[in-house]
Amino acid sequence: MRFLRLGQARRDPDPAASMALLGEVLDPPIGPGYHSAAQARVEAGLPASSGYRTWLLFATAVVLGMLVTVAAVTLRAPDPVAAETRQQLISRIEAAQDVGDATSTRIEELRGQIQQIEQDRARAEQGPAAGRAIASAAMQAGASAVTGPGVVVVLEDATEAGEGAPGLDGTPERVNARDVQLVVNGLWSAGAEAVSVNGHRLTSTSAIRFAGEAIIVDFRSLAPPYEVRAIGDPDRLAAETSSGVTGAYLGELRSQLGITSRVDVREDVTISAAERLTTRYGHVLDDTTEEDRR
Amino acid sequence: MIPVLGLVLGVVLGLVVSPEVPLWLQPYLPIAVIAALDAVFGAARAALEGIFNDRVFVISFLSNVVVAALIVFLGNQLGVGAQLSTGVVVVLGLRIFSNVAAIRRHLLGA
Repeated sequence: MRFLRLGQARRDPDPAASMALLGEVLDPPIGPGYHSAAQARVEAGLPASSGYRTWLLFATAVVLGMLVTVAAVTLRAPDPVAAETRQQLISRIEAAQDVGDATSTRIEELRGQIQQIEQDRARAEQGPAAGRAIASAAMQAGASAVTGPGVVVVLEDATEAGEGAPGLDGTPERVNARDVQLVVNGLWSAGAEAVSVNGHRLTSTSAIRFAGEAIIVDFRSLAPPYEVRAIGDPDRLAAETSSGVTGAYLGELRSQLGITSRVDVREDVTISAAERLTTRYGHVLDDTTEEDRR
Repeated sequence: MIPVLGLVLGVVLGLVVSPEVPLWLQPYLPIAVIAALDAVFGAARAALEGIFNDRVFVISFLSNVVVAALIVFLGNQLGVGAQLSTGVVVVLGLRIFSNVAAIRRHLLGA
């Protein structure tokens, strides 16, 4: 109660006193500390300001600079824990990819050796015709790299959003799995003997699919541009991809959706061996049973 | 000159040492920075009015930072940390603005 009365006695007679809070918020005096400190110094016969050449001020400035810098550095960086985890995951993915690449090169090497040994043995045991038979079977199955004349078809996503194109407005059209399928089928129908998409040799078990936003060939996702290579009669392949059904389709893609395509006829197209040839469920019939059925 | 030198030294130290701020301390950093800014602008205004006092500055700096952090801590414990942080930012922001207005009046006369 005593305090209360004290307060009453000192109350500001200003009629707007009830607005003091607003006044305080809108135009606060500098920390009253500065005024009273200055007053005390003046009374003690010193200049009102303490000046700026003090160790205390220096130390505070150092702390202030550090505080601001550390806050900026800490808060600007994205969550360090998440970033670190992401980095670790990325490096693990990269390491695994390296291992996978090394393994597939090794597989290719070994497969080449196996084929060579098979051919040598067949040739030694059954004559040169058997060796050639193995070689041609391997080529047809996609087990060995082939080279010869052919065409290279390159499909590329549209760079600008076309008007009136289906799909989301304002997004450039992208090459679809169906486009790649159509090109590949057209090439097969025009007598292609070996076809690869972005370096992946297509075999009798290959699939071209669309998953999410990526085209997937043989369980490997591809990135544009999509390069379809085919070995075969260059004239027939070129005719199919320029004026045939495939050519008409490509022309439509170009004019309607802005998806560009390019067909090159080359004297020398090289297509590598397929990466995946094993079958897990199918078995070769035994020679005897085969003979029996015949 | 001395405060500027100290500031530069502090920034350099912060960049060179770049201490790892523990996770539990991170929510207080922005509040601490704003509280420090408030103290700095108050000091600048006092300096322009010729009544700057280093001791008052240091005490206002420290108490600002500590009180702001305390309020946010309390808010976090009570589950209203975000709201109290906003409150602290609003109050300190108002103070900074009015102090800057006073500094502007001193420097530019407008």
